[in-house]
Order: sequence, then C-alpha cells, then structure tokens
Amino acid sequence: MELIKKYIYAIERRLPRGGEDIAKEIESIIMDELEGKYGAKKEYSREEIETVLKAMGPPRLVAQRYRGGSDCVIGPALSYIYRMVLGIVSAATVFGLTISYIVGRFTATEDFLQGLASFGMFLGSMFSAVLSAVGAVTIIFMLIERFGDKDKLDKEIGMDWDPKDLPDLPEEKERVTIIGPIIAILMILIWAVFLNTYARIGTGIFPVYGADITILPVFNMDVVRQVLPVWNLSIVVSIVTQLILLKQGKWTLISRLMEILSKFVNIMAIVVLLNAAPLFDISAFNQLDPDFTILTANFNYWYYTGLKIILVLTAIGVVVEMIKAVVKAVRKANLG
Amino acid sequence: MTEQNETMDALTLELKRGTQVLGVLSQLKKPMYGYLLVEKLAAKGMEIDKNTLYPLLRRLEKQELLRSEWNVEEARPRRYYVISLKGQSVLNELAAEWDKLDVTVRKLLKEE
Repeated sequence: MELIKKYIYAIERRLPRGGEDIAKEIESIIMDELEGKYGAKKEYSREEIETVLKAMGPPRLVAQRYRGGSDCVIGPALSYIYRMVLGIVSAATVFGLTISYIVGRFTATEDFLQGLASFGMFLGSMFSAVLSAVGAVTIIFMLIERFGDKDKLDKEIGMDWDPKDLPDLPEEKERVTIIGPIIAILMILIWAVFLNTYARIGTGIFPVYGADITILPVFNMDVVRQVLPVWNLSIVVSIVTQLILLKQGKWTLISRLMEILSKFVNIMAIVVLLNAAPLFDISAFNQLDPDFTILTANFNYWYYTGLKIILVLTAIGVVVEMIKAVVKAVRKANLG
Repeated sequence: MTEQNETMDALTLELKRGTQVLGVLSQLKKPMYGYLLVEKLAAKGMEIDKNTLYPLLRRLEKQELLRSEWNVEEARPRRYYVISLKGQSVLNELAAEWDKLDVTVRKLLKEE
C-alpha cells in the first residue's frame, strides 16, 4: 500500500490546485482495478500492485491526462515567429559581440598570453550572452502564450480563421519577403554595435613613415557625443520599420511613414553635424605624412559642403517618400 | 506488427474516439462509478481504455454534462457519475447527429 501512496503522491504533486480530489479518485480506481483483477482481498502483493500501476501509466502522464489542455510552453500559433525571433536575436548577439571584440583588438596592447586570455573571456561572454538572449526571448513568448489573446492566436492557425481576414494582395513592387527585413535588421544591429563601439573608441590604426603602425584619433569625440544619440535614434527607427515590414509583408502607409521619420532623424543628425566642429579629427593625420597639411586646409570646406549636399539629397528623399505615400493613399481610397 | 495493421489500428482508434462521449453519456442515466462503466461499455461492445475514460468523466463533469458525488456508504469510497439535465439534452442532440451520420456513411459506402 506504501507503493500506492507513493504513486498517488507523484501524481498529486503534478496536479493544479484542487488536485486532492482527483488523487482520491485515482486511489479508488486503483483499488477497483486490483479488486477486478485479483478479487476482493485485504492485502495485495507488491507484484499485483506493480502490475496495476504499470497499466495505469507513469505519474507524469496520468497527471497530464487529468490536467487536460495543452502542455505546450509555446504553442503552435507562436512557434514559427518564436523560432524566427530566436534566430535573429542569437545571430545579432553573436555578430555584435564578435565585431565588438574585433574592434577592441585595434587598441589592445597585450602580449600573446593576455591576448589568449581575452579570447577565452570573449568566448565565455558570447556563450552567456547567447544563453541570456535565448532565455529572455523564451520568457517573453511564454508570457504571450500564457496571457495573450487566445482568440487572436487561434485565428492565426485554428479553424476560426476567416478568408475575409486575408490581407490585400500587394503590388509586385510593394511586396516584402521574410528574409529581406531579417537581413536588414541584422545589418542594422551590426552597424549599431560597430558605431557605438568604434565611435566611442574613436581611434584607428595607421602606418606611419619611420615606424610600424600607430594608433591615431579618427573622430572628434565631442562631436561624436553630440551626434551619437541621434544616430542611435535613427537605428531604432530603422529597426522598427523593418519589424513592421516583416509583420505586414508589404510596404504600407505605416511603413512609409516610418521611412519618412527615419529620413527626418537623419536630417537631424546632419543638422547637428553642420552646427558642430568637424566629426573627423583631421589634425592627427598630419603625423602620417607632412604633405597631408596641404589637404587639411581644404578639408573643412569639403566636409561641410559634403554635409550640405547629403542634407539636400536626404530632404529630396523625404519629399519623394511623402509624395509616394500620398499617391498610394489616394489610389487606395479611390479603389476602396 | 505489419505497417498496415498499425495504420488500421490507428484509424480504428480515431473512428471509435468520435463515439466515446455518446457511449459514455448514454450509459450514465443511473449513477455509476468509473470501473463499472468500463465493464458495462465493454460488455456492450465498446472497448474504452480506462486511462482515457477516467479523465473523460472529469472533463464531461467540468462541462456540466455529468454530476458526481462520493459514495462513502460502501466498503470503499467511490465517486459516482450520473448524467445531468444539460447532459441529457446534449445526448439527445448527439444521438440525432449520429443517426444522420449513420445514414450518410451508409449512402457513401453503398455508392462505392
């Protein structure tokens, strides 16, 4: 009977609240089975009890049958997008950390053993970063599965779906594949890591006459500090745009508006640069070659002229996008 | 076991699964406990796995198609199930659906 109690306990601890009643019923069923198979007795042998319990199945399975519903942590409606997001986040983490490590090597002054130790630490960081990213994504999707709109999720894969809910067929030019935005997001994330790592270091490695290599400042760090927040905002807007394209599978008014917003943010960055000192610290390049001093005299002129040209081109781009968006909206209104 | 036998077993199980609720509701007009219900259904030709039946009874009770209560007057306490009013109404509708299905399937098989 001890064996029966152990079996019931193993099932009961896997049942939700109120499982005591189910456990009591299972015990009654076991006794009925024993009585049915071996006749009414005061005591049953261990072998007889084991035979009946084995036929009932492992406690985990019995508890699952009584719990009912899905045992899925992340159900079929979300599994596809979960795998996709997991892939993107993992790849971005690996690429980002790798680039950050490579950039860090430019300014490292370590001997071979220290370099080896750094590489080991990099591998360790990568492993824990990927695990953290996977964990975070999984927890978020588990929460969506648990607390999300079940009706909306069922519409994605269940028989509740309605052909009326199918999105309009986009024109050939407006179609967006799944892989396009994914690659774009990866590239943007890699650029973001590079920008925020390399710009903060602000130096580069250059060959110098009479010496092997030297590390020189490339960026004017005061200007970097002014413009970096705007560049990061541009990155966030670009990622959001790509996520919208990924979700909708085509260019829509919302994604076009986000594209316009992205260009506006770029214009903001250019305005910041126009009102600041040159982004590149050209004075350091004098050390590379004395003849460079001739070029640096014209640098400021060409630098600011170049910025103004980019500003004008970006502004034209904004106007073109706005016209496109308005034309599409009017055309859709006329057809609809 | 040959592949065809395995396929046949799986398809037969699927076919039977669709009739289990109808069978269970039809036999619970009088209170009965799980083990006895399994025996009664088996005697009438409906073999149902005990591990399927017991959770099914709980599910039907949750759906208010059955009522249950513990009977402590016997040698051992047992949980007795009986069909509810709602269950009776559902049984009548299911039985009507079954009659229609029976006619349809017979027609389909005859055409073949």
